[in-house]
Amino acid sequence: MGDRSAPGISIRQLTKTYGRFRALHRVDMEVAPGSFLALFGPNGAGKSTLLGVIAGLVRPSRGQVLLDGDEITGDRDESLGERIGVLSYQTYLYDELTVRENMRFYGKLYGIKNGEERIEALLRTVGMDARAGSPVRTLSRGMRQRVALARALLHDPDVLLLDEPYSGLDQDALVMLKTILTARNKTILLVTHDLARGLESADRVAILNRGRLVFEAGTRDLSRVDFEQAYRDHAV
Amino acid sequence: MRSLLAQSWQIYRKDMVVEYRTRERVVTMFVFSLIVVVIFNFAFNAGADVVQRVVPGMIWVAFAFAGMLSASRSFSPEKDRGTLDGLLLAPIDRGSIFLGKLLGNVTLIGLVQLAMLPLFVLFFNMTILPHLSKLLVIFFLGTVGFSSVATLFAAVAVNTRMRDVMLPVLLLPVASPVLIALVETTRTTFEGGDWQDMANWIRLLSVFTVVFLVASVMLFEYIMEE
Repeated sequence: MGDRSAPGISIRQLTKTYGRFRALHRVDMEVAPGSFLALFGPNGAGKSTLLGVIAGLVRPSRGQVLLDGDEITGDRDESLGERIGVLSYQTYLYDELTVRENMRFYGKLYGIKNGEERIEALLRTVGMDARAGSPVRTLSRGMRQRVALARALLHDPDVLLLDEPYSGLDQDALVMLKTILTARNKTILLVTHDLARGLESADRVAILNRGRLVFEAGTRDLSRVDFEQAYRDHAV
Repeated sequence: MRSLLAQSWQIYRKDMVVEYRTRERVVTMFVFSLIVVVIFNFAFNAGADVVQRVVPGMIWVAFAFAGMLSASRSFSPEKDRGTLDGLLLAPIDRGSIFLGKLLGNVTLIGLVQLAMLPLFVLFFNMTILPHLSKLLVIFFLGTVGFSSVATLFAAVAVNTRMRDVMLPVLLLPVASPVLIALVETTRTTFEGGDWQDMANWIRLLSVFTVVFLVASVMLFEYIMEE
């Protein structure tokens, strides 16, 4: 898992329709190995659907997603889950289980070796070791999101798909998330409405609107003002 | 195969811990079955011969609807809280999610059956002890068969908007053969019949159970796709 180099993601002519509604329309996109791409767009633009297709949760109507040149949108490959970590506004945690029980459960599903050590280390990293024995239902939204981050990193994935990961996080947790994301040994695709944070962390930015990719640029020479103008031009 | 069973066990174990802490499903199922028994007890205030013919149907009406509650609740909270996606993202055979849920449903229905059988005896003055071994086999086979199809259709229904309506609409027509076979085998047992007298029904139950069990594990992957 973690000893592999971060893969590149190629998205080719990706289309997803729900009945007559076209959530994605012929999207072409490249995420270079080890790079960080932030994807923006208004509500209903198709951002979460795109992440769902890459994660293997949504089957595309047409087109392909390639991970290191291997198609992952055909028949499901179980090992894909070992390479991809997903952090979403949904935490995937069970309210009735404690933090540690949730981590152990997912650790077993992911076949983590030295699970206990890794769980304790991750809980310390996200600052939740003191609440490891607490049921998730007793945690605040921000605390749950911290545990969700630990869960997403549990199997040390080399691709991270982040869907509004900042929701509910306090300042300390935001700094911690930024530190983890800037370690740059992973290929990261971030979906967010937070233009400033996305622009600050990513190597490239893209805008999706009505299922189409309408803007893509590197962040090196892109000022926040210019990007906000581009967002207004393409997505509003 | 070993990893499929090991993954199923993890999901089953997690579901049972959650159920033990909430008792959400088992209490609802027990109360529902109890209400059915009480209502039927007043409705069929008849002689022993009538009771013997009616009770097998009554038993399976109660357990079928309780089983439907269990199957529905095995997926709907996972869908509502987003944890179903957490399971689908894991590098596991998705058939193990089905098997884990199935095991949970069989366990809970079995617990309700254990609690309800003495009440059936009490309310309807029935004798079950001489038939206990036969009843155990029939109940086990029937519960696994019914739960297989109920778990599969609960997974189908959970992705629809009218899931509470969809489950019985999808499930009951398909589960009819197994329910009829269960009523017939239970009635024959109470009437003192032996295995030979119900061989065809047992065969039907066994084939139904095996076919739905195998097909569901194989089809579950596609059912879970959006």
